[in-house]
Amino acid sequence: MRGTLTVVLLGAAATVWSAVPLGGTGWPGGLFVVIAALCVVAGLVRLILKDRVREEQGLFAGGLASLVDGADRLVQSLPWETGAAISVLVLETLHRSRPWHTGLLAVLLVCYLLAVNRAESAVPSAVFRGQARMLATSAALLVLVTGVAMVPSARTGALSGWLDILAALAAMAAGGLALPV
Amino acid sequence: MLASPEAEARPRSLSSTVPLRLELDWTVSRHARRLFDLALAGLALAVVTRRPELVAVAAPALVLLFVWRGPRPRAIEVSVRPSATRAYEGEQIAFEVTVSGQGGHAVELLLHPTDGAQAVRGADRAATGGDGAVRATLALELARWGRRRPGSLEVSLWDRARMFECHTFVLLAEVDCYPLPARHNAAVVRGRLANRVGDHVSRSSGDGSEFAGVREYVAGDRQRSINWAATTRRGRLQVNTFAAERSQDVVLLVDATSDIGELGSTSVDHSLRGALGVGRTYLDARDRVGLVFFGARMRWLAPGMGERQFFRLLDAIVVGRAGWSSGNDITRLPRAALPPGAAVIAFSPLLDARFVETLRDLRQRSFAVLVVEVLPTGTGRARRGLDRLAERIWQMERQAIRFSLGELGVTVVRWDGADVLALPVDRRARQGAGRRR
Repeated sequence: MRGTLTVVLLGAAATVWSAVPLGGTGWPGGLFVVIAALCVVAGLVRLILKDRVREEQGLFAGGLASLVDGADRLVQSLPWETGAAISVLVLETLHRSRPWHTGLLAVLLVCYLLAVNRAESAVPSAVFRGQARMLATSAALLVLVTGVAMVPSARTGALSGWLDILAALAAMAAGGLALPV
Repeated sequence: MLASPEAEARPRSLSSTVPLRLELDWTVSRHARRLFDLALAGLALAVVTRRPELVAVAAPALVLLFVWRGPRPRAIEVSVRPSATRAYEGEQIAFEVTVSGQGGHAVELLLHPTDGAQAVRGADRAATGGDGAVRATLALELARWGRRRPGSLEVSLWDRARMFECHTFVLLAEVDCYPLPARHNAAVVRGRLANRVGDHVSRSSGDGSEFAGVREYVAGDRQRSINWAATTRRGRLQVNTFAAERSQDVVLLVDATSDIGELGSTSVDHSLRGALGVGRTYLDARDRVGLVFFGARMRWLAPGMGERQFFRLLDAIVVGRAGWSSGNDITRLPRAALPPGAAVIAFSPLLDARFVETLRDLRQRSFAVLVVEVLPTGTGRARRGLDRLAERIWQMERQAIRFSLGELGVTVVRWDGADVLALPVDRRARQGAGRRR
């Protein structure tokens, strides 16, 4: 239950963090807030219902029973968490460039996906400690790439944006190769 | 999107108490797919919007996906040891699972019950990890009688970063689940009993412990049976007499021609539970108990006594170890299966005309017949006028069947399978069940 609560809090936090300030994003902003919220809620429902024992439907099940069964299958089969993460990212791009804000959002999103993974697994927490070192190094890499993005560029010419991206990718690749994992 | 690992997983091998070697097919986990999607979305948005900070979103996901490399086992050994191979309905069976060769990977165990078994909340799954062999005890509840595999065990392995996973299934060993004997309050005893030593008080005098009366002493009577008080009053030697204690043959007749009701509480389920409960009581009273299945063909178990006969009854029900004869003509049964003078206790929903005719036939052949009517479906569902009329006619037909059987001296009692089975014990019913035409 605590794991599920963590998932909800992190999902809500990521959605709110990417949405503020909502003014200036126009109708797409509102639309993606709604999509992200719906995906977070649907992911929560999936986590709650995943361990429920499903009764076999009879050959002549009623309309309501078929509808409930269909909705249950839909909730279980669609990747709601991925939808929530992508919606939040799109929402973030609707705002002006703000690297540190996006970096923190990336932390929230990764934590959200890790919490989902933790909540949908029955494995004790001790098993997850094995990846703590790797998570720490990936967080360092995130900080490095965010820092590179915050370095002011000349912003002259059509290729300046591409060069910034290449610089970030290069920083990520270099950092990745240097990781002691 | 990558292919779902669950869709590829299929049961591989049969369960055994000896370790089974299972080959593993590792696939990318759902968690890894989500991270991959996040990284892809971050990179795509960075390129489309020309904003380098979005690359940061992809960084942790890419690290977790591509940097993590660890050795993964190709096979594991799994053994599943059930705590029992025989149980009654409603009892739980524990399965001791041992997994070895997982090399420090996390192991999740989950029992999937089949029809006739139920998961025990909190005891149907376990998660563990470690370098050596890991052990866990899981449990299932057997809900319905029969010989079957109660389920399968899903063994899931995850690497330390939970990027790769594999699922494999082990079918559990076959378990015999016996119907839970019904509780009932009394046993019907025939008026005339066979000349075998038993626990029932007979009308004839003998060496039992039940006092029967006083009579005059004759040569050969035991001195210890002299009633001195009566002797003093009458002036001549008087001796006590005792009732003989005899046993009887009881044949349990189960009607399997129609099986109606919800799974787990059908008419045949009730019949078998009732028959076992009654059989248990008669066997405890040192009677000989036999069993006859009346279905598409007759199956029978000759009467016997003792604890061993009870387990023969159970096996005859679950495994089908019984004699059989083709057709469902009761006259074709051998004398050993239906001994003359036996008390026949039939369990039936009284829906099949052939079975009702068989009951009449048995009664006319001087068997004492008692019918326990097991009809699980309740009435009173009819709401419309025509439905109500049809139900009323049906009830009258059933009443007519009961009346016609009663006229022949067959006592019919109704039992819904839930309450205590109340067999008629009053004197009138006993005489009716034992009356000869």
